[in-house]
Amino acid sequence: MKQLNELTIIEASDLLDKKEITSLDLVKSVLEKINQVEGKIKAYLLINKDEALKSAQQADERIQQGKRLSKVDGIPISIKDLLCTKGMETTAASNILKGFVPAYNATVVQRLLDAGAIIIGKTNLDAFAHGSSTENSDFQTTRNPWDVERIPGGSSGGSAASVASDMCIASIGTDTGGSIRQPASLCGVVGLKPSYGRVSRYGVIAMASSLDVIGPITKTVEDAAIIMNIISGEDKLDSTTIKESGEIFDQDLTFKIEGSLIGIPEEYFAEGIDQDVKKVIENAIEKIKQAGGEVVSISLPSTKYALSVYYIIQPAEVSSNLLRFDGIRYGHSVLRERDDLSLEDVYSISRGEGFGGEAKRRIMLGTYVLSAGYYDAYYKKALQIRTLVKNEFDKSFDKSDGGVDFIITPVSPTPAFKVGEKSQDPVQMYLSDIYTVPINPAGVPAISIPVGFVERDQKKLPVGMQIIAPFKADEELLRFSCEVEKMLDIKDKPEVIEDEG
Amino acid sequence: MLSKEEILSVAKLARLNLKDEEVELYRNQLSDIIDLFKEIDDIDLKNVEETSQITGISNISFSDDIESDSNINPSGPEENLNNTPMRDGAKILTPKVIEK
Repeated sequence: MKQLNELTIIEASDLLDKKEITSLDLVKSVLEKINQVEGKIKAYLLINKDEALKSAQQADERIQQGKRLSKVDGIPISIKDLLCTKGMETTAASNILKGFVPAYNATVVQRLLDAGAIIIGKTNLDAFAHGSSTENSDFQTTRNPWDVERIPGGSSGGSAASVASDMCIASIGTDTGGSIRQPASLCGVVGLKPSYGRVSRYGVIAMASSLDVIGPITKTVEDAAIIMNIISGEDKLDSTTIKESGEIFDQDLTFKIEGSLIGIPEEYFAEGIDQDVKKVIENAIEKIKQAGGEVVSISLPSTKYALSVYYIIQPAEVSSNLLRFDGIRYGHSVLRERDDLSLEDVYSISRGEGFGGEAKRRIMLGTYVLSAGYYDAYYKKALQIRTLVKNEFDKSFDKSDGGVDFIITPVSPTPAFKVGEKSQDPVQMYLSDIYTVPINPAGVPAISIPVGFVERDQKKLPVGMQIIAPFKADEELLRFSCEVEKMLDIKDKPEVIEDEG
Repeated sequence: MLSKEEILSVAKLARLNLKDEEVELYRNQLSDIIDLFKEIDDIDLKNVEETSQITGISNISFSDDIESDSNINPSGPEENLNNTPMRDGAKILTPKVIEK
């Protein structure tokens, strides 16, 4: 028998509808789990205990009156601390935003609240979502529930760890180059990076605006669909949202694997991949084959440049987006202590004090590639290669030209690495994103689903598989992934040893 | 390898006050990262268009009406400016920009 906090959205929603449990029971069970293991995992920057209990009682009243708002009504969900929450501190895990209390909700947060969801807390991340391990958080490093000596992945590491350790029912993350998929993979949960523009970015602290996407981190594919149903769709507050929208995701998540055409890009299984991880992925592909899927080898040759492209475009946009932190309007400011400085000094001292190492590194890198004399050599070239990367995906999926339905790759070249293993070497850290970063410049949707385990230091570590679909084919991606998930039927859970006392 | 002067010039453009040890650290780290980019030096990109966004959407416009939605328009200066370091009522104060 599952504890309440271990339930999926579907399971909990069902029990709430049947009035077998209350939302208050559910929230209390999640808070109890937080109480037990959060000291070890450190997934949360803020726990919204009092508000959550109050909201649960309100949800229960609605349920009693037969006015349940949606499948997430009364369900406790954690939110990456990159999304603005009205009246609730939002820090992006950065010192420069410590104490920042937004005056409005991100559209995603507002839509979840309107649907009755309960915000159980704000989760840790690499500051401003810059990183692959949460070690770049200015406040704390989150631990992987499968082995607390290891990182949970990043940047949405707090969200993934909170789902994997059942300290919430589901979570919201953001993905600019893998920040939903990689932590989902390393923590053994489901993480969907939707098509660019499918989910509003309004109220999400911007990292790289042409790449940023918001999406669900959940225990099952079906739960991801339920969340997408609520958060996706056009938003006049974000002009880059695309029109095709919602109400389509949780209808019927079945798919006929038999006869579907799956492309395996050889570049994603070449040097650098851990052989045990490779075996787990190949084993999952073999099962898809046995279920009647047709698997073909394809080539995405520009992939080898995608890391460079990503680490030019992304810091360029970061350097521009982070200029808003100027010490004048909000956030850490030297003006709070002294009023005898020039405007220029207020800018550079506030920023120098407030930003952490990785944010500074990316601001510097972005400023460099955009500066006169380097713009053509780096930034312009990167935008051109971005065209090649995108065209290769489009061509691979072009059905009129023998294209495939889905592309399958690993998510991360290795299982979760140890805390401290890569934190001093930015290039090594960047290389851990090699299979996820090519996706964002192309804008296509991709998901990480758990497909197996490898063993390290006598501990099981989860391995995720990336499934990529054509632009706007988020629904088909979820339907296919749901079938693969059912077929593999992975039920293992991490055992986090409780805190003493 | 980037020079110390290049790092200082970039930091000035980025309005970042760096400590001496940070200048040295970023000189090494940025040089390593930029080394990675060598792989794109010789790609033939003649006639390849640039992609800066992927949806193809352009020129979204709507009427400039004041919305009553409280999530879009918080309830006035107190709520809007509660994070501002230096202000006078609803006005944000900055250091003097132009000397007499």
